[in-house]
This record gives sequence, structure tokens and C-alpha cells, in this order.
Amino acid sequence: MYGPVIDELIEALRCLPSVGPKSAQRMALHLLERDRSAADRLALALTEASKRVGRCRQCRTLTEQDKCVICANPGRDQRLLCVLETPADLFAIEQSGTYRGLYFVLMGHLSPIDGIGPEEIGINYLMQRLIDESIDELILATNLTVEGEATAYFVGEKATSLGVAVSRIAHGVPLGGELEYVDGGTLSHAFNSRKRL
Amino acid sequence: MIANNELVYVLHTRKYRETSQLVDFLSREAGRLRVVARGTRPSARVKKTATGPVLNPFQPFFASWRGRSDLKTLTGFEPAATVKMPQGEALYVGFYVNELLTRLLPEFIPNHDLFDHYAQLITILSHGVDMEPELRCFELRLLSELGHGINFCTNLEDGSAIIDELDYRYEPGEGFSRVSDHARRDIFAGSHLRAIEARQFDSVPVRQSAKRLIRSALALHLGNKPLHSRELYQQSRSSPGNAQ
Repeated sequence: MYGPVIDELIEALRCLPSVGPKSAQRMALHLLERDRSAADRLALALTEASKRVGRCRQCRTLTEQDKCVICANPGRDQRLLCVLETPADLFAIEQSGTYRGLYFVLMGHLSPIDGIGPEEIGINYLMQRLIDESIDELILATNLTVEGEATAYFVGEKATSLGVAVSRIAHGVPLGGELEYVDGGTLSHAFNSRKRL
Repeated sequence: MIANNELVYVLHTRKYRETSQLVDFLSREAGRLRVVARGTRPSARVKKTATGPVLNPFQPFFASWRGRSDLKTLTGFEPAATVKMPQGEALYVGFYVNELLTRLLPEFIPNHDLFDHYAQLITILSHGVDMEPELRCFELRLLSELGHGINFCTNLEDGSAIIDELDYRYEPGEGFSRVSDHARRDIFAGSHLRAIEARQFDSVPVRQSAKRLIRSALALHLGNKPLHSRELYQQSRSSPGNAQ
């Protein structure tokens, strides 16, 4: 509609999540009409990131270095290891500021129907880490979906057989949640994992 | 086609676009089918203060959908009951059953008996008690509902009855015949076959025979593509050093 170059830009922007044709057009026109310097910066940042960002050798999260900032930080508790499904989960936990140990990012979860087994999510690397490093506690923070639970169980069994203490994050009523509106499954989980005061 | 408040179990869910899912249902009245469930996944845009029902596998729901094509659109759902999520090995068994159904059961062919049997199996999985007998019964039921039931009564060669004291060879898709001298594989004791027919899985050797027999019978219909859930179960049993 605008010529091949602009159309290509609009089409390319649509690869982003929740960006439809209309939003893509708005973004493209904004960059071209009002903010050329931001457009150049965005182009450069994208090229650089796409060229240089890879996986951390130790925890498999996204990083441009060999080892990510968290793994390279000697101030982190080297004896705690937290297992997660995605880098987004890692950012969420880091933002909460409650955890000072190390991570391992699976980049997915076990899902046999989709053909995703232990090999596809790097469980062999995780086991090697448990053998090589002296980890006191492995914290399983996979999602509370059926696949996340199966992944936690699989990793937990393997780690226990290596003599590593394993824990699972708690699940139940969300903070500020009113019981009346919480679904039955979550409530029954909350009751099953209640703790004595 | 419009369906209202049908009893279904979720077999599998896949992410679809940012906030939607593709959901495979096993429905009592409509058989196996796939629906698009729009806006059922949490997103960064919608901040939830309380959680609503989630389309989790192994959970029964009353679901409504419409659509003319094979892929239906989910128009509503609510939990039919709260079933505890299976834990540990029961989850692997659940994955296995769901993978079997997804692979073998044709779409849109309702089967009340199979559905009720599935519901019973899921209840047992959620309690985590002795799952094997119920699983074997379900597999046998699935085979016979697919039209591939195993004939435990007669010897193929001459139509004589299966006898406790003799050994028989199983030919997948065919049936049982007397063991010839050189046969080594797929051999079963007559007494085990009669126990399996009566669904009596009390003894360990009968359970082992049943597992071997059903695996052999299913292999014929599954083709060359392995069952991923079975591989996962086997890997879970191996030691961590050679987990892969």
C-alpha cells in the first residue's frame, strides 16, 4: 500500500506478540514520520542483539556473554539452584528480589504428546551440573500446569537419586486474592499444602 | 453445529497466539474434538487478582462450542468437578493414555462406554492407588472399541478353547495359536490369558504378560512412530548418569 520498503517494515513488525496490522502500521509510521533517530537506534539494537545474544553456558538463559550476569556474580549463593521453564520466569523472580541463588532455565517443559522429552529441555546438562557442582538445594519452580508438574517430578526424582535436596515452590491462593473467586482446583491445592502456624 | 454444556475431559492444550489455546477434548456425546479457546491464557495486559478455572488436562468440564469446520470455537466452560491433579508416576500414565487416545481414536465418534471408563481411570490416577489393573482394562477396552479386540477364547488353528496348562503364541491382529517348537517371541501361558480375559490382575506374572500382550497388540496400530510418553516413563526409570 505504501511501497515495498514500508510494507515490508509493517509486515516485519507484525512478528511481535499482540501486534496486528493496524498496530504495525502505527509503529512504522511513527518511526518514519516522527522519530528517525529512534528508528536507527532500534535497527542497530535489533541487529546487535540478534547477532550477539546466545545462551549462558551454565544456566541456558539468554545472554551475550559466555556466562550470564547472574552466573558470573560471585555474590550469589552458589549452593542454591532454581529450575525454571523460561527466561521470562527468571526475570519475574529477579524482579521480586527474594532469591539470591543461581538458576537453570529449561526453555520449555516435558510434553510427550508434542514430542518434547528430557533431551529437548536440557535435563542432561542440569544433571551434569548437579554432579559437578556442590548444590545444597534444588528449587523446582516450573509452572503449576500438568506439564510443569511432570517436569518437576522428573527432575526431582533424578536429583534425589544424586543425593541433592529438592524442594518445590508453594502454590495456592494469590496475594490479595479473595477465596470466593478462587477456582476449586487452586483452593484444593492450597488446602493440601497448608502449613501449621 | 452448536453444543451446549457437554461433559468433556481435556486431553491436551497447546498455546495459540498470545492469549488463546488449542484444546483437545474427549467429549461424552461428541467424541474426540479440537476447539479454539480464546482468551483463556493469562497475559501481561490483563492483570488478574483472582484465578478463574483453567483448562487443565485430566479435569472434567461442562463445555459449549460451535462451528462448522473440524476446528470448533469454545464459547464457554466451567468445571464439572474438582479432580485432584495426578501426581508423580500417575502423571506419566495420564500422558500415556491421552497420547494413545490422540493417536488412535478417530475424531467426532462418540463412545459413552469408553468415556465413562476414561473418567474412572482418571479418578484412580488422581488418587494414585494401584493403577495398573485399571490401565490394562482401559487399554483392552480401547482396543475392542476400535474394532481390534483380542479374542481370548479360542485357539486360531482349530477353534479349540484356550487351556490353562498350554502355552500360546500371539500374532498381533490375528489371535492365539499353539506354540511351535522353534517359536521364541510373543509366548503366553494359557492360564495368564484366561486371567487377563477375566480382568484378574492380582499376580505379578499375569500383569507382566498383560503388559507385553497389550503392547504388542497396540504396536500394530501405532505404526513406526514411538509413543513419547512411554519413552519418558522409561527415561524416568533410568539412572541420572544415563538419563538421556
